[in-house]
Amino acid sequence: MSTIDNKPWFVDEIAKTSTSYDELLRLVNIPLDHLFDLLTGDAQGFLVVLTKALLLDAEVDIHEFENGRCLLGEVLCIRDRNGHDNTSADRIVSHQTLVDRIINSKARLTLATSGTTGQPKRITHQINTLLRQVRLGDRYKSNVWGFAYNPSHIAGLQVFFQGLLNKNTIINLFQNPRDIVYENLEKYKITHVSATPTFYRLIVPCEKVFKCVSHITLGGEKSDNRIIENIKRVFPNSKVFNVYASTEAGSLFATNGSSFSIPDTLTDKIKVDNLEVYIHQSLIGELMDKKMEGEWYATGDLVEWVDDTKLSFRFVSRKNEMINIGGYKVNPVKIEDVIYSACSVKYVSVYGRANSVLGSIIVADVVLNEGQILSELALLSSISKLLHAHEVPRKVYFSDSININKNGKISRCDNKK
Amino acid sequence: MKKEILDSINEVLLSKGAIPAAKIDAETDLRKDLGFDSFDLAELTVRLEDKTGIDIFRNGVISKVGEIEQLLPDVNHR
Repeated sequence: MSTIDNKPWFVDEIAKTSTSYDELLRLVNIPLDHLFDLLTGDAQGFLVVLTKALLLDAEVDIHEFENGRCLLGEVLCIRDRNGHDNTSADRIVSHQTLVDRIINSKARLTLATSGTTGQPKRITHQINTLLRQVRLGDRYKSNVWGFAYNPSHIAGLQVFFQGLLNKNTIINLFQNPRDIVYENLEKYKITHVSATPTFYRLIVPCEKVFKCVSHITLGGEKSDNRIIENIKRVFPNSKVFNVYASTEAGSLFATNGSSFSIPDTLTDKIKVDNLEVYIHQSLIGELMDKKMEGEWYATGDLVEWVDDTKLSFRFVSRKNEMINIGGYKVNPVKIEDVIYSACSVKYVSVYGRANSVLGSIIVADVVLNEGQILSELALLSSISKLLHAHEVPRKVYFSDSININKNGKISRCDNKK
Repeated sequence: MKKEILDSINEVLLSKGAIPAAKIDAETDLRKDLGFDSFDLAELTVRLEDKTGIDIFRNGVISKVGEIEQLLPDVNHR
């Protein structure tokens, strides 16, 4: 028999749901078909059904989750249920049983890369790949997670597993307005947040200070010093980490600065060749399009060496984000960094716009901070001496919001065509 | 329409720190008289396209203001 356990498992202030670990155990013992009828298409419903699928050792094809607007059966296409659904001998009666079953699950999850610039790829993971970076132990038991990723993407899954397997309370912050994020941080004394730099730009700078947060992780996009400084002001007790992760391999390594080094345990599995990061096939899931270079997967992540020893590097851009301007290769991330640094805007997205003269032209979408006054001319004057002429945006569009994709990253694409 | 063109030309000139043009006419040559390079011409197409919906370079090279005026005769401003 299970014991009463009211420790909150997943709390969603927007959906007005709060589920305890006891309720989670009850839910995962319900037959899958009934769960689809019982649960709604919010993040909690998604994660309960996903957990159930893991217990069934199922093949799960995960499609794009849209909070509150998705049908769970369409987002989570579950096949080949090998488990013993709802037999009394197979009931999950404790959190530890749940943990053991998940760790030993034979389920395979197929998910899509975010496709920030190109077409999304499908990739299949076994559970052990997704759990590789999960840390278990008493020191993690009292963590409270702010859940700020799309649960259908690999970063969201990894935060979910880290929280669930350590019996942590998970507070849903994904797509929440900033005021609700602040309320949640205080109300639930969130200790850990993992999110994209775009998410942190939503909530910092801020007049408030949240001393409860001890760990901040940034991933999925290149961060910059300004955002990290703002994070440290708003979360003064936090250690801040940049994590390098990919949908193909999950999170691989982290740094508390801006430069990365390949850890000793991965030196034969990760390499930098021609300033591009390559991951050995033993670390990645099964790519549907099989675009491998021998045993290596070319990530498309471009780096520059920090010093002559070639042991430390920092990320500069994605290969497929480079823009060809009249024969010059232009890195939009560099331009965004310069604009953030020189003008302290809230968000900026730099991309190439099709142009009949040059093929492409650099333009920038900019969101100003509340009360900030900045003209196009003033912005261009501030940055033109910091960039080569061909790197300077030729048109700046100011707006109240910027396109953020379903993975919480700024989308670099032209929506004005 | 000429004011629309003058405004766009001056936006290009100002954005590169040049002195705006006081007036233009049909014979004003974008490269020779205003010092436009290919990046400036590309920028001008974007700025005019945003205002009129027309890509002035879609059918080939434009040299003079009068050629732009011919392409943008009766367009409703956006």
